[in-house]
Amino acid sequence: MSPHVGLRSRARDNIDWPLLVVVSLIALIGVVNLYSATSVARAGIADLYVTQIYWLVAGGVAATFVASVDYRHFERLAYFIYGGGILLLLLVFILGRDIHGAARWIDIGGKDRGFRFQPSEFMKIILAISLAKYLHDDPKLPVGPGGGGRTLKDLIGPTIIAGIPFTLVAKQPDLGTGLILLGIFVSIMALAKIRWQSLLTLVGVAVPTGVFAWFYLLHDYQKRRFISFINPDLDIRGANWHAHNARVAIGDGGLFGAGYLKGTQNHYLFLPEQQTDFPFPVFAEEWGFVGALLLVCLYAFLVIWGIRIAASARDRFGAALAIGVTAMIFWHAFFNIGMVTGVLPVVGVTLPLFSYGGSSVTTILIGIGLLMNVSMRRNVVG
Amino acid sequence: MNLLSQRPDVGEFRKRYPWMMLVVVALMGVLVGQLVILQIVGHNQNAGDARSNIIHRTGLATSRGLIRDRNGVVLAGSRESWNVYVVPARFDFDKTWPKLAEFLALGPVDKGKIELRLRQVRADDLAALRKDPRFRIRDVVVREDVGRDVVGVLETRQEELPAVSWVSVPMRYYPSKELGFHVLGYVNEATKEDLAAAPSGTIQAGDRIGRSGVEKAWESYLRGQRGWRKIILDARGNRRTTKEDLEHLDEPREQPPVPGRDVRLTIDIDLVAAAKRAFAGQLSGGLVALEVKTGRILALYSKPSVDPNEFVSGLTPKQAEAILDNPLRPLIDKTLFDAFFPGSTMKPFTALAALRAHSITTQTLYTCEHVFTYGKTRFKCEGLHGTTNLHDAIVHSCNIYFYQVGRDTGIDTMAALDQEFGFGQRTGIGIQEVPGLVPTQAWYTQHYGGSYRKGFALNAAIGQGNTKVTPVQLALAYAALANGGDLYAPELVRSIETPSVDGQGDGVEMDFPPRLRRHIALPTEYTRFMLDALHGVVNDETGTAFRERVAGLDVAGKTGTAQVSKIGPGSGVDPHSLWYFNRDHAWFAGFAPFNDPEIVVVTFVEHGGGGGKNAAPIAMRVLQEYFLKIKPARAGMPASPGKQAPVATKKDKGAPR
Repeated sequence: MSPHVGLRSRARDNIDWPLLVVVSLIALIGVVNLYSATSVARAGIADLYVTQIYWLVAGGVAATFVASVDYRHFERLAYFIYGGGILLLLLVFILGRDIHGAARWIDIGGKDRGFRFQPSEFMKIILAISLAKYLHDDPKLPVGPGGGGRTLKDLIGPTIIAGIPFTLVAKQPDLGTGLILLGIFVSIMALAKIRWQSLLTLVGVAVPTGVFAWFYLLHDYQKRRFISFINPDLDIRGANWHAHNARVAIGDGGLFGAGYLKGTQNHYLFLPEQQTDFPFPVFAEEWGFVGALLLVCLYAFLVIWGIRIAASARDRFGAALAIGVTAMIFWHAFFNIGMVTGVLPVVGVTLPLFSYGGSSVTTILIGIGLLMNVSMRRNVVG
Repeated sequence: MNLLSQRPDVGEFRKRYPWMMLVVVALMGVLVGQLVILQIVGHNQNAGDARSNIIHRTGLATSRGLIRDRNGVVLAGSRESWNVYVVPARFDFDKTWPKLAEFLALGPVDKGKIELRLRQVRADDLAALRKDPRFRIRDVVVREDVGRDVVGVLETRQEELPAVSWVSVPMRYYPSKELGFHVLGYVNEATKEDLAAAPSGTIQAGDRIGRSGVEKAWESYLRGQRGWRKIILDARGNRRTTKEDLEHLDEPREQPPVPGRDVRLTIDIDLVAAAKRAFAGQLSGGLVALEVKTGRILALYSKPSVDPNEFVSGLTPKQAEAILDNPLRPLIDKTLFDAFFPGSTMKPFTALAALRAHSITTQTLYTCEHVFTYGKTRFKCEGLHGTTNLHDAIVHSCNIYFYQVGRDTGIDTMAALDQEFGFGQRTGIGIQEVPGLVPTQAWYTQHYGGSYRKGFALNAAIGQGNTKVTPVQLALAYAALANGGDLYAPELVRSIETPSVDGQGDGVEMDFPPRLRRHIALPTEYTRFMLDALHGVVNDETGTAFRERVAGLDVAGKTGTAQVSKIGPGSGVDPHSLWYFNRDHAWFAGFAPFNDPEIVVVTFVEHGGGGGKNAAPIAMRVLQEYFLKIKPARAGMPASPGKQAPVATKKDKGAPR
């Protein structure tokens, strides 16, 4: 019996139902919430929830496809995919359209009728695949009584792999995506054993780099947001006003919430970008602490389940890929909820499956497809 | 998980998974902790902030009370007007502003000025909002007193005008125009000082408050109390008004404004109009008509006057200049706010003082030889009256007779009686007035370098020298003479009423009875004698007002021709007008009907010349109008102030004569 036949029949039996259920649940709640968030009579966005359903279906199809191809094909093609992703990011600089002073999009099929496509979103998955590939090909087994581990020299490769897309994304500028790429990088590399001397050196380098980034890489509006987080009194009406009203909306929800479609702050337009960056306050005001807690628990479950999938993966690529995808989901959720609750500064990061957006939804679902892929093939001997 | 199926090199990662889970749980725990802080611990604060984000208070204007005349005719009412506001912090200067400026027909200069102010407020508000997200942004008046036509345009183009609003602000309107100016006064916009001085919440910028006359004196009754209503505004400053929106409002949703109380005057505006007509040939002066038996004012008229409507929305510098430069002093109420030499109209009181002091009797004779020398001073009379008794001295208005009365009576004796009749004191009418002056020996000692000369008493006896009275004082004194000694406080406000909802102003809150100041005790034979003499002034063939008598009216009274302090060139008056300003004041004080006096009329024509010729005819015309037209027309009407009287009473020909 060829391994492929065996894989196919076994994989169907091994569908990861908890993963499927929790993802579906979040997506469902997301659509329901999106309906409320955009129900405010603002022409143009009122039926975004329908579009979101289309994207979910499209993403689901993509995820099914991704899940059905043995992930080891991705491992083989990893660096080709990586090259393609970098090319697309470069294309943004040539074809990109300005949204809020940042070029992040590529228009396909015309400005109005076609759809816009955000290569930096897909870069998150591509980075996870590429770093997984690197770790897969570079097994440093524990050596010696100290346990061995990687030196700084061993980190140069993955740092370059992550550094190129990070720089391109930060240049767009898209601080949110940059942060997520950084999160994926750190999370995947945390899997590997690194010498503690090397870690110390790393810190010694990172701090000056941060200073450099502040003065030469960050844009003024990004700095302002950061400053406004550190010292809210200095803020302009922009970021701090939004953050303030997001907290007010969440707090207004109380224990049980105002009720579906009854959140006042969204209804009276106090939550900006309520369909992309601020869907959580809409949800938290309407469903209260009970609803918000449930949602946070669903994300926590999804993430922990992802780590569990990594732990049971049959090879290094699968484990690192699962951690990369899980890290993407986790940092998205943590940054988004953290920013609207005031734990973190306002950075434009979407809430996975909750925020409106074609690139965002399909990216997350493709990631879920990869997770499913790893999960389904954990027992396959090959 | 089936570890056996894993490739051994996966083991490098294995120790990391628990730590990762721990980090995930810890960070998610931070989020849950923050949710607890926001939604449970801080719920009340945040719910309050959420409410104050959307719920705003808008002021509800109150309506100023009406001022009516005694028959219910509105003398001070309201007309429709709107103020247009902009919320600068949310205002679109590129799109909305050009449109708004066009609709409001702003000239380029105004537009520039207003835009500058709006941008300033916008900058300030945004700065304040940066410091405190809870800061309440302001709205700013762009244009006041906008008419219905403009508001109609704004309403139809509402969609294109975000952050623009308009509020109905009824404006004061005086239908009788300049006729009522001195009594009613006027309102204009509250100044910063007014706002600072008033208890908080009672007045707001843009409110108008009474500046003079009844508007000022009865301000607290007329003003009313502002109210407020809660409204829903979204983050863009647009008002939301559907039923669902309004459910977010907490109780109480509004405090209705309390409308100002209406003030009913004792004035009969038709009689004031009659006075105006009677004054047609004169430049300056005043007329008082009041009820003999109550002291209630029927008419106050001062000429020249101004239109109080011009004051309401603010005078232009040109208008203000024209008013202030007018040598006839249109702002001065000549019936109350300035005092003049009364001339011979004071003679009855001089005579009564002398009679009461027994310095003369009703039969005392003095001789008039046209000139009377006292000390080194020569006093003149208008005529040559020969040996004259008191009756004829009044009827012919002989000065020399009264010089001798004054000499024999003394200034303080005369002053005492004058003061009993209310001269030299404010009458207590409630609006601005001056006390006038009744000089005494002590006063002269104080003001004339310590030396009192007996000649002062001679001038005082004929209402010259330093004696000064207001027409209202004179009218009250003649009323007291005519009614047997009752000196009343003049009553201008008859009642305070709650505004009528359905056009029926029947809610009388306060009804003011006549106020008797004092009863002047004089022997009846003296007063009887004096009334006969006053009757003679009009009805004896030799009387000074005989030629002005009117058939059908039984009038008694006294003329007066008061010399004025002469002014020469260089006194600031236009030299071509000197002849006018040096001319005598003309007076007539009279009452009718003689047998049962009911109305007193005092006419004062400033620089009018002889009293008999110039002042008496005006009084006669007014009395004629009163007895022949106004009184018969009112006869069918209830006297109670509470009942709304029909306005068009003049057509009521069936009323008994």
